[in-house]
Amino acid sequence: MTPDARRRLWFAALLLLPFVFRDELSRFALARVGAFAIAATGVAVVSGLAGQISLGHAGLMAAGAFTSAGLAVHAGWPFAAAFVAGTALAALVGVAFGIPSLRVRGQYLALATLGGGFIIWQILREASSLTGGDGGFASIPPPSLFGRSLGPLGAASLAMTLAAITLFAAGNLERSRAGRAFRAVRDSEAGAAASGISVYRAKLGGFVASAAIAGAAGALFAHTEGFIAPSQFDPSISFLLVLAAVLGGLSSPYGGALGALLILGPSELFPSAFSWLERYQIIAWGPVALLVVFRWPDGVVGGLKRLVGRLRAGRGTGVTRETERTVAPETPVVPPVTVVSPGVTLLVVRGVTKSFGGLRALHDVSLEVGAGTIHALIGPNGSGKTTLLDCLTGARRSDAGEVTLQGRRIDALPPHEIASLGVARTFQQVALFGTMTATENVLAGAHPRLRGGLGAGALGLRRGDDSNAEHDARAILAAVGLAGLEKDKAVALSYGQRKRLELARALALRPSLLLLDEPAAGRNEPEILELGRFLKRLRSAGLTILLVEHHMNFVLSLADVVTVLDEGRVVAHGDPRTVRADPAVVEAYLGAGVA
Amino acid sequence: MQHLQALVTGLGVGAVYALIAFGISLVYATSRTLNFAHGEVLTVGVFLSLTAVYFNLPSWQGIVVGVAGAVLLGVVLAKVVFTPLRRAPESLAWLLGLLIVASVITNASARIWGQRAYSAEKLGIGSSLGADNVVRWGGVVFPSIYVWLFVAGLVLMVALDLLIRRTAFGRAVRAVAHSRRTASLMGIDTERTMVYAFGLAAGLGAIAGIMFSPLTFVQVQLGAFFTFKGLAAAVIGGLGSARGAFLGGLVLGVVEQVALIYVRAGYTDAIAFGVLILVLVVRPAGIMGRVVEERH
Repeated sequence: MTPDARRRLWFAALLLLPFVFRDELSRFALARVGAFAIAATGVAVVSGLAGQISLGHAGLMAAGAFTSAGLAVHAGWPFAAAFVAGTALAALVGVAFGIPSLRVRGQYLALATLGGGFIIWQILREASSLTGGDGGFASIPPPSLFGRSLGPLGAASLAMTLAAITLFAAGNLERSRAGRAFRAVRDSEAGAAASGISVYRAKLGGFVASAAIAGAAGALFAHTEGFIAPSQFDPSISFLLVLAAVLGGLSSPYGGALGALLILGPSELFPSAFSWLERYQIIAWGPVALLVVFRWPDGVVGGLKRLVGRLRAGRGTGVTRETERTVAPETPVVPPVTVVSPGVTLLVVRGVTKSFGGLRALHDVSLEVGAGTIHALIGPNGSGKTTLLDCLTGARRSDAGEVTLQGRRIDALPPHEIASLGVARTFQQVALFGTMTATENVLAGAHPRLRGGLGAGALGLRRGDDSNAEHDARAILAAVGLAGLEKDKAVALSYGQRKRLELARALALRPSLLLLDEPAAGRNEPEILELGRFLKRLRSAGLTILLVEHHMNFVLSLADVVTVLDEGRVVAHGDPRTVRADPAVVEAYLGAGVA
Repeated sequence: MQHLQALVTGLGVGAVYALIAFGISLVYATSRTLNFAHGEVLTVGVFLSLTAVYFNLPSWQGIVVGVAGAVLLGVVLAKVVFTPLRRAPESLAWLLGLLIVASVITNASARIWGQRAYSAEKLGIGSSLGADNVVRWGGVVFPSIYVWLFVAGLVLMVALDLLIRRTAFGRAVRAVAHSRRTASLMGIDTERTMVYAFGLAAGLGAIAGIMFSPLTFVQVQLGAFFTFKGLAAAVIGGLGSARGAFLGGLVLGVVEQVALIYVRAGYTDAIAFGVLILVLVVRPAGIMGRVVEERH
């Protein structure tokens, strides 16, 4: 059975739960647990997939609940319409929730989202003409479908159906293009932007998707409960949802739902045995969650996965994967690149200046890079090479000067747009997506070339180019010498392999200009020679390369043109031999003993 | 008139916020973590003071008991919870850990002192600060307690500022805040500095809580209230800066009181958070924090 089929079977099993519990109270309780499992999946999407902490999800749930209840009670809207309106309004509030994430992260974002949830809670309590104040809404009509209102069995079935759909969508999203962008931003914002992924769109998208899920959960909760009050959505409920997501495991889109089931299940579904738990939910589960997190950083889902893996290995039915860990034999394969007609000046840098506080890192730097050439940028440590790459790719904004790519000004563009124009880069300190596999890293690198947004991702629509992309990704990995490591996570690779993977990710963009920051670092001599041959083949294929490197023999054997930077200024420029003989260069750089 | 009155009450309340924010900022400077349990710790101190005077101790002894209790709790928190949690900074596990600590303290307090709202009258802070007197300035009338709260807060702030700027402890705090590693290489015991910072923060917080007690009823929910207000003030002023915390507290106090002229009292906390979110979006480093683009 494929993992996909097994997943579907689990979701189908959820639909049978309402028939397992026979009495009405248990069925209502099941609907309640379902609503919280959905809301916790919302947290899993924003905090797990997109990596943005939210301590205000009870507020988003409340937005959905009060909107839906208000429309049904005051305006007589049918359930389905009120439910959709509540979900939509919560998604809208999610945009506001996401705005602070564009500026701050971590603890600060926790504080901002806590504040957002708190503000909603206070508005619910104070704007009593709209929300009923502390008393809330009573006698909310039960959910109805096709004009028939649902009883306990129907309500529980509806909740389980919605939970199954949410989990299905969250699982699809994780593996889609949009979900890859979320995870890429979570793992490395710099790497994501350099791959053409819009960081702000991914963050806001994460918050909106998550808020819609939480809002739907709230609307469902309002109608199945029949009564809501602000106290049901106070900040401690937000903590409970986060607790559920962490306990279940943030590394999985299903962790939130599992955590909610573990925390609420016993006291809600078996009240006679576990009623004492209810009063101690956070206190009892908090330390448990912490222990789980310290022992199993990826929560219960991760722990279960490992357990199942071990059991299977024990039974000997597990497939042991053959991995080729040695350096792959040299292949003549060259990944496709975007060819600009040779002889054209591809990149023009004019008078770029950049200061950090009082320190001038770049001073009036100008250079031109011809299409189809390898242009090396050398200079002593701290001479401004990496800063220049940052200014070219939009990772930093220069204070003055202009950068043009094929005649188009790019110095004011955000990094992901510059990447989308065909400018790929690698980083001095590798900026990979650590928790993603090698293949996923390369697929994320192809982001601007692929199609499919949030909706397509959630529905699991895979377009033709997506499966082609996977094939292409494997080819690129083979080309850089990573065949056999496709399913390994980036963090598990060696330093040299990570450098290769980053090169592969950059090539996935099909760039016209490739900026490499010390690609030879972490490679031994034979590997450096191999890299040199590979870069030469890329040049023959028509790719233009701007190379920052310390390894002099490597640079001199490879580069068509060399520009030397010292203390932020261009001190020499020309073909490798001339530059090498230049007294200014000898003094600034080679004089330090390298010559 | 109304605005002048709001300014004076705002400065009085703001002085209390400032002392709480100072504690949060100090803990942040030495541990790089926002203490989401700060208010809960100091509230235990306030309860201990009340309990002591309930057993007929004189009120100065009650205050000593409360402050000492808070210091002890703060130090225990630093040793038992923060040291292990700091291994996973910025992670959700860390955040959850602190929230759990906060709710454990709240629930334990509720076990001991119940959900009741106590009057702090017996501590005698209110009467000695002139809660029943009013001051008249021209046509403006306000309870003199706000003036005294502001004065007392200001005296403490000046003392704390000297502590941070002029003493060996202050130098250690500033060094650790700048770079934990470098400070440690220079021979500063960063762990001990952090523990002292926690103790000082908790004790000061208890003093602030006791100062505030005549203005409200003492109940367990006060913990979350103090935490939120302190965090908001510390971030508004600029985390890690003592003077920023003072300024943030005063600004928050005045903004809340002025806003009260225009909106219902129930919205004051929402306004504090609104200002906080605005600051985070517009100027994340806060009023006094420096924004410097770093090279690497």
